[in-house]
Amino acid sequence: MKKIILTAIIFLITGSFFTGFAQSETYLKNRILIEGLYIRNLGNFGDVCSNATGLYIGYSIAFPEHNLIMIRTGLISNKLKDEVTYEDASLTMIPIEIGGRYYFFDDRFMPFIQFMNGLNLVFENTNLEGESEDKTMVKYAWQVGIGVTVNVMSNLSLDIGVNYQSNFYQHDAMNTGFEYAFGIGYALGN
Amino acid sequence: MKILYFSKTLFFSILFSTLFLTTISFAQNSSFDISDKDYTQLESSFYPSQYHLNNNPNSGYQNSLAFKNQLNQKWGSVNLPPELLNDDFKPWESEKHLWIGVTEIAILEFIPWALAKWIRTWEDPSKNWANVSSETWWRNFSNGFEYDGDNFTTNNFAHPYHGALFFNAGRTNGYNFWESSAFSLSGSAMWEYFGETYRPAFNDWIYTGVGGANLGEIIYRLSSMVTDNTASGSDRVWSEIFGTLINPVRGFNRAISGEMGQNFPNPEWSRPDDFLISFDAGTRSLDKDGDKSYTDKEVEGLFSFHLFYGDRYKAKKPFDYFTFNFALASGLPHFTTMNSSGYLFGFDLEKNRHQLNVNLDFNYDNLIKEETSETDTVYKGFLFGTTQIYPHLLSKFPIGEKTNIVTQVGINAILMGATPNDYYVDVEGRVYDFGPGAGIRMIAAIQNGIWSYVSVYYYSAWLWTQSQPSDSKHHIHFLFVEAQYPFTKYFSAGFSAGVYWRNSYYENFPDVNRNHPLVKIFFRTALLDL
Repeated sequence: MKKIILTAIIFLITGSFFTGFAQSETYLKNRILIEGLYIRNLGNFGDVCSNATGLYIGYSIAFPEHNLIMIRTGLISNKLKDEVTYEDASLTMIPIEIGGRYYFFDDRFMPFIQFMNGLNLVFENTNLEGESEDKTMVKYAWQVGIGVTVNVMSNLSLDIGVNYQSNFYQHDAMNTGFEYAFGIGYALGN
Repeated sequence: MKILYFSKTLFFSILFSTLFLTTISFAQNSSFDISDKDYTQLESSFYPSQYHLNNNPNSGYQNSLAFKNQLNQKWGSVNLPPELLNDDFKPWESEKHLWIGVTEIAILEFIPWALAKWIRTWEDPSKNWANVSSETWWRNFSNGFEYDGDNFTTNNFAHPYHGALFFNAGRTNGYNFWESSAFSLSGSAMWEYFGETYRPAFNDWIYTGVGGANLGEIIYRLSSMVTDNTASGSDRVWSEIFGTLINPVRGFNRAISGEMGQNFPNPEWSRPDDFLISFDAGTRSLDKDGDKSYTDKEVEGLFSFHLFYGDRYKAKKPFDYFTFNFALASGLPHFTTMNSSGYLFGFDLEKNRHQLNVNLDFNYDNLIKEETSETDTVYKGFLFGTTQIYPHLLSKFPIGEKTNIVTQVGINAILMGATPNDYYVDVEGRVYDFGPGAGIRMIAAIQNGIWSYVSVYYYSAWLWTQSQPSDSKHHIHFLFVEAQYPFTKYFSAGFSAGVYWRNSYYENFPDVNRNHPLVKIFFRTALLDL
């Protein structure tokens, strides 16, 4: 697995290096974006699941005047709070989302605001009250945030962002939290 | 007694309609000719028919605001020499003004907040929802969304109107429809999280953000239409006043930018290809309790206003074509209907025959006042509201020289719907429930030129409601048949019959079925046709 990831990174960097010389007028391009994430959960939900980690993979399409539409999916795994001792409890989510970004500049450093929304496929085997139950739910999910895209080369970028999310879970325990994301983007074409 | 009451209501409705329509008829220009222009708006089957009374688009309207007959122009008037028009004037909306838009949203948030905080008298000051602090903000962030307890009119009318003002903070500062939708969504989110001590309400966010975009684009276009940049004197003053009344945010921006005092060309898009306002008056009988015995009838006068903007076959941008309907009833609730449907985008499958369109719809139907008591919790009223997307196939099948069968088949993708819930009464008084939903819509009409002689309308929706009792779901249907006959070229009479029915399914309570038949007779006239 490590070899595959290493090969992929080398491929991306090498490709970017060669295409980087053919500098285009804009950095705003269609991109594949892979992001790692850490979520600090809040509220009643956060009293049981303190945080979550996960991964997004997405594709974004650039539009005129600094806009980007993005679709993405991924996997998010929640971690129980240290003092909560439910046996074998797990709460995993697969987000399927669509949204967009607005970039303030089209330059090497591109700050943006972002809004994503869609559905979370929620898989739980123990509910927040600690009762064992295998349950699959489909819940609305949304988040809004800010970040910056750093164009390391013409085709390769790094993304850093922080988002607030308030996903549906239970009426008295919405899946709220702050998400910190770090990603690598690879632009397709020039 | 009921018969007497019915007769009285019917008599006054007919008398009022006749007097009103007679007055209108005399005010009409005498040279009415039905044009062959092809109107196929199917909504006309159920609200107004599409009249196209005159090939001269200015006839019959020469006394109104910005529209002058003598200059042989369809839209706009130049009552000052054309050479005095300032062609070099740069309209405010030709550039984006982000910070002014953001400031306007802040003002729109501040005014209602300040009224509640400092002006309103609270019997129990601890209930003042404007007492926000960093503590309430963090609590709102931590707890996230819920569904609130506001009544139907607040949630389904007041919130969309507030959202329309947010939307126009973007739209009248140079942003397009889609970008301005971000203003209404973010303005609403800001209010929900920071403007109130209450937990943010998801239904408010949808109704204000999405419903606000719908209503906001409508008032933006209507305001732009009645404002005439080429006029001067009292014509100009009145056009600015009307434009500002329709869209206060646009009026404010025109004032601060100096546009109100400039003469420059009207934007081409602001004068739609087609425009119609019609009015009908009549009476309807509606079964109130819906228990299928059909004995608890409400007979009331009904006055409806219908607006059609643009040509749906030429629409390219959002709301290049839209419809808007508004109705008042003599019985309670008086404010009974407000529906709109605006074109978002579409594709020609076969030119002038088959079109695949996606609309943004807004529905507010408050038909029967709810009756609940402590001893009988079964809900007797009927209301229905949605903010929804409507993808549909629009088709036209010629069956004669001027006669077509026009159909619509589409999907109701309901972002937020409201329906009666028989076992839910919120502490704040809400007696209905919310939820997303889906359904189908089918419409068919026989149209001859401008007239829809016979039409059939079916609408269905499954709503999965979100409040307690949880796991309730509702199947709503509307079915109507309408027929009308044009006695003159601008005047018709007709009737419709149909039924609203609701099947509600509850996890922990008995299911409820309600069936509300309706019969309506009406007279209809075109007030304004361009």
